[in-house]
Amino acid sequence: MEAFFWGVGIFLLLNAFVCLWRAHVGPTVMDRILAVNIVGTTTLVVLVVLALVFGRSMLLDVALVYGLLNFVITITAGRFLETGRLSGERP
Amino acid sequence: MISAVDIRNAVTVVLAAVGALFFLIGTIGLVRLPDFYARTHAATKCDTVGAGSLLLALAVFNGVDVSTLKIIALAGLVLLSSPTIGHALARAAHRTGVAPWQARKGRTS
Amino acid sequence: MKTAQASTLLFAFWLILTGSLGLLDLALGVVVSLFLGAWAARFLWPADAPALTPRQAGRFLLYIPRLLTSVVMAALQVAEVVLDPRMPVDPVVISHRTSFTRDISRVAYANSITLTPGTLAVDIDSDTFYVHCLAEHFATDIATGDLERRVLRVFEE
Repeated sequence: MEAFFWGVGIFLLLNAFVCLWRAHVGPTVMDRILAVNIVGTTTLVVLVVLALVFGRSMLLDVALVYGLLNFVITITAGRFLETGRLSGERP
Repeated sequence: MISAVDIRNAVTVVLAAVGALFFLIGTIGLVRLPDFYARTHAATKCDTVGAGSLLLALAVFNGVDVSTLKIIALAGLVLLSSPTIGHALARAAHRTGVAPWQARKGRTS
Repeated sequence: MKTAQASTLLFAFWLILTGSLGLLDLALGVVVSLFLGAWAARFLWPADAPALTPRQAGRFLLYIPRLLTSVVMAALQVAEVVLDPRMPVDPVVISHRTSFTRDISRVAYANSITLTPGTLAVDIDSDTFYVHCLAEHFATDIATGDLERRVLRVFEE
């Protein structure tokens, strides 16, 4: 099973690299944010895979915080680009 | 003789393979589709299902444990956040004037 | 009331995070979640938490499996489009007027749109939803109002 999990992890990392290509070429800023968000989701799953392979449940906490941060950062970046500001009021 | 562990491993392998396949489809969609909105379709749907299926596989493999609760919480987080992010980014793109790509030009609607 | 709801949610999250039932852990969790719950209710959620009648809550629970199957169908449909060498996409943006009275139904409706095959909620302008469709025929459920009626039945009856 460990070999299988290594395979899944490496496969997901390759996927993440292809997504990085999209983040590189764009063409719009939103494309880049979306691509980076997907890289983040992939990383989250890879972290859980690593937690099981290495038997370190601490990595699960890292994955949880990573997922929350990924969500907040993507929303904030999208909102900032849309309104040009971060506070709650509409411009 | 098939033991419970074998069944558990088989379920894990099938679910994880399905999840990885959906991740691959999401990535192909991200590369191939013509514009931002279409790519958001691929990203939100395929990655939600892919991550959900993979995390479910890992939860099954882990068995009944506190860590499994964390993995299920993670799956819930991905299921909730992915459509929200898709919508937020699509709205931001719409309001900053990213025009949707159209197969035939000059059509109204 | 809002503080209690937020604190309960945070305390459940704390239990998952620590995964222990030791006295010190529990006491620390109560203190932290009460503090953060009061803070969140004061600054993060100016509106009241949506109240559901038991009947609505039951229907909502029944609605979740339906949403899960529809997201799997949606992913399969994207797979079909993406793996086709000709890539048959012909996107349109449609608008649909709705008659929701509560914010929670708008949220549920937008998420339902996004998780249904071929459609993506793009923008909301008062009660008009703008929906991006990968092809025109995916729009039928929204244009005829079927999806809207389903959400209305869950939250506004």
